[in-house]
Amino acid sequence: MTLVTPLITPVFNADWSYGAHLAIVMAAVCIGLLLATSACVLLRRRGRTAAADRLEGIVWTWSGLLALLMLASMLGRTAIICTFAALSFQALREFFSLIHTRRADHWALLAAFFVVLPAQYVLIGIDWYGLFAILLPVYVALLMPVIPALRGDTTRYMDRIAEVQWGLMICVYCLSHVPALLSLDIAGYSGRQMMLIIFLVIISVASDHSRTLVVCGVRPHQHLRPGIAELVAAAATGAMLGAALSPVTPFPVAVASGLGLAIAMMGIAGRSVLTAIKRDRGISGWKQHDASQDDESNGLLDRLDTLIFAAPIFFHLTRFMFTV
Amino acid sequence: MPTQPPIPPMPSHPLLPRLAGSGLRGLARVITGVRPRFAGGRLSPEPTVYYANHTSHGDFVLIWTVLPSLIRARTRPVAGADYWQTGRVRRYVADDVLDAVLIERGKLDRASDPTAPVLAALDAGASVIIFPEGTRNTTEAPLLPFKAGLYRLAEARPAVSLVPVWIENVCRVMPKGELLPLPLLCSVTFGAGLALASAERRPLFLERARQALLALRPRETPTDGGVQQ
Repeated sequence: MTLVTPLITPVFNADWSYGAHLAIVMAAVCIGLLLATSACVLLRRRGRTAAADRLEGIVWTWSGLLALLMLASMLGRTAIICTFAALSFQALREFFSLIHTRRADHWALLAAFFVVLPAQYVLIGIDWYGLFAILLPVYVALLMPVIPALRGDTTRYMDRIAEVQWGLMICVYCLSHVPALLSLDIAGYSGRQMMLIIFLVIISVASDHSRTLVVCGVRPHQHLRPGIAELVAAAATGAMLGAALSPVTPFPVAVASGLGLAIAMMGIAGRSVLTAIKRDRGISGWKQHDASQDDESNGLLDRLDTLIFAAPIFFHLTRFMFTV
Repeated sequence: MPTQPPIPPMPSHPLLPRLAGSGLRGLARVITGVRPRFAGGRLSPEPTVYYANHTSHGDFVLIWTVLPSLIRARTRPVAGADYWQTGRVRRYVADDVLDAVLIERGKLDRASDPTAPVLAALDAGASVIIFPEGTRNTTEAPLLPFKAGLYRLAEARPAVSLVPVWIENVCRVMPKGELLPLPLLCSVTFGAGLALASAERRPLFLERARQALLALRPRETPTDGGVQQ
């Protein structure tokens, strides 16, 4: 394994068909965002300000994320990895701000932010699959609880170590599988893996949007237990978009549609799980302490929850089916 | 130690301390992402006593960071002279950057009334930030019993509003005795102002003020204590 070459390999090949694909997909995304924006305007005209605000929030965040992704992808592979490392950092901050920790955990938390997180992304950068896939579930899971134990503080010990580990798994491990897609070595698809990230992000956004649109006005958006209509809408959006995007991916239509479905379903699962965690902590949004504020979901984790759960599954399904 | 003379309400800070102040606030924002919540309506530029829970040396800085700039310019923290007058850096920060009102702690003799410099600052048109627990709270309890200082201020200046300020999470960012700060998110919640009711006795008033501060907690605190299951 060479340590340096993957870092300087450009994300794009000088490949016109790839460029064209990218342009078409991006144009479609822009149209989608424009449609969502006009839906906001319509909702506002009909007096449904709350729904419009919610939708607008989602549009803005994801426009920002897509713009960031495009910018990072032009700058190259390292920039994408750094972008997701920064997203992980902020997500971890939001998560750790709300868990039960004590003074004895101080060094463990510092290590999580400044050792574990960078290490995970460096491993992805140097494309060391064998280690980044087990760093958190094996090494960190076993070694992290040692720090508070050595400091001798056993009050609520199980809760504390479990919460720290969960935070790391969600915010660092799962999220890091998005840039890890860049290192998947699919035959005939080298240099185009950025499209896998775009595939994942678009489907997870769109299926989330479709949920919001379906429940608009029917009942308040209930994240914890999705209704049948939401499940159907998300599944249909995921499967159809997956099929529609299959020409720009290495997947045949049926497989792409199945992967789209998986991404949509994992997105719903992620939303439910993270909402349950929020309920447990008595908050409505991950940006801390705004339980009494009217803004329903205002943290980074509120936006990334669908992507976080979909990324590792999509990564491993693709890896299992399309690499050696 | 001689107290500072009263200052005019809007002192024109020289450039260097002002830059140092901006730097300190920027650092506080970067590390803690601190956000203010105004649970009791808008803050008034009138002289006000902000009283807050005290868990860390960062407390002053966080309140000071989130105050609107017009109010910040006339708000002075009240701090223990014994700590803030030792060492050149601390003295510079206390005197020039934060413009602190320094009071004597510990020695309780008749000659040095610790509230006198605070009252002088209020009379000069400044607002003050005080920590009525008297010291940093390193216990499991969310809030220690209040010292009498808050009551004495309320008694001496009944027209001055007492605004509770709850600071959340700072104790986890930098626990006592740790060197490096954790980049956790903090928040500062301002409550509605209260005043001493006529004929209200000291313990009752202090308990009322304490409950008003505790009521600002965003939720059951995830920090030490306060959670029984």
